[in-house]
Amino acid sequence: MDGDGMGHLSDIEIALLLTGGGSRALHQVLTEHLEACAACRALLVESALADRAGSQGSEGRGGPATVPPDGAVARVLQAMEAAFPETVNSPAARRRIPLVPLSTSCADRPVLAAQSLSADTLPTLTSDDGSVVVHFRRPEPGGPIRAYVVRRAPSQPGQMWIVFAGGQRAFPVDSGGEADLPGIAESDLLDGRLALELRPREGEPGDPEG
Amino acid sequence: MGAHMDPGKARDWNSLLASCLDGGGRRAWSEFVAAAYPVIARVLPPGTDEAAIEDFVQSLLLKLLENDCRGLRSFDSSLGVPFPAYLHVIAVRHRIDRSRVSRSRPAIDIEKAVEVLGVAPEAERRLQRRELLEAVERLSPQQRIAVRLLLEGLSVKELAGILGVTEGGAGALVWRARQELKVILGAGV
Repeated sequence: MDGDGMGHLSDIEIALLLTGGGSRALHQVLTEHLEACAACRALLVESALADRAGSQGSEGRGGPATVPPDGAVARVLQAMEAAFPETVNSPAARRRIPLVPLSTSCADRPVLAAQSLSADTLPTLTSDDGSVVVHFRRPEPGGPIRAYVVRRAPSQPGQMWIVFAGGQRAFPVDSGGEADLPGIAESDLLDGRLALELRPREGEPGDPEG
Repeated sequence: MGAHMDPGKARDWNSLLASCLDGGGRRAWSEFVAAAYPVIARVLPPGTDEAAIEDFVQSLLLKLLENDCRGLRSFDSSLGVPFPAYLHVIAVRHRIDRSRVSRSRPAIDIEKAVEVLGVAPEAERRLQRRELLEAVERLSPQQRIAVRLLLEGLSVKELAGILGVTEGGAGALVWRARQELKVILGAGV
């Protein structure tokens, strides 16, 4: 969904244009792409027109029903359950997301590229799908490195940990997305041994310690 | 954008999505399907029957669950885009893919261009597609995208959101583009 490798705008970038969110500078970058790309422009226009038509429909001038008919939700859920039983039925389980250096390959994705500009001298790490970005800074000279986690998909608070070397050391991420990493050196950030771990809350099914 | 784009509900959506992605189980997914159903359904044309709507919703949700829910995990809540707006774009893309309709639309409809841009009658008589295309190409990049989107059916209000400017700013941009087109067409034809 995040572009097809040919430099098209992602769905979230199209949505950002439609909702008027983001900075003016970002809009300028995205609209420059639109000016040159008929495919993205067409998706944007179709999305805007569908939204307009849907709004008219919800005001009683036609359009698909806005409330699912009886049984529809259950039937759709059943199909999802049959195709992806582990996703739909599994209780929360620990999930570890490897973090790798943010590459320059995001140059064709304006949102990612713009965010990478905010990084300071320490490297920025990201998950392979770009859904997690971790910036690092050393707030005090000689003090521990601090991680700043930006998890793009929404997450529940108090469940994230930065883990090092396969979980030998783990550092809790606070509700503001920050974690101090005492004993972690700058060189450790680049050797692929850091990961973000999502843990179920204590006492929930799937928590091996709960 | 429409009412479903209201960011007021963003926190509820983010919480629901987080619950699903973090292993909330069947109950969380059931809530998600119920909430997402109308958002997805509204991209379909009026008169679409219930079975077709259900089939469309189901096929899109199955697609979103592929590759460990990659389509859902790609949603970046930090950008301030309400999840329904993101889902709306995904649904439109899915509709286009399924209908196999080419995304490319006619570059410029001359009659509509005359109406939207308000070019002078004497220019209209002599206006040729090639000349109008050439004239549009001579506008500034921002004016060009504004004119293209207007000709493809968007309103000045929608244009303002896309360009990240006020409605008045978008109106002024269009006005300047019209003036320049009149000058270019007047001089060139």
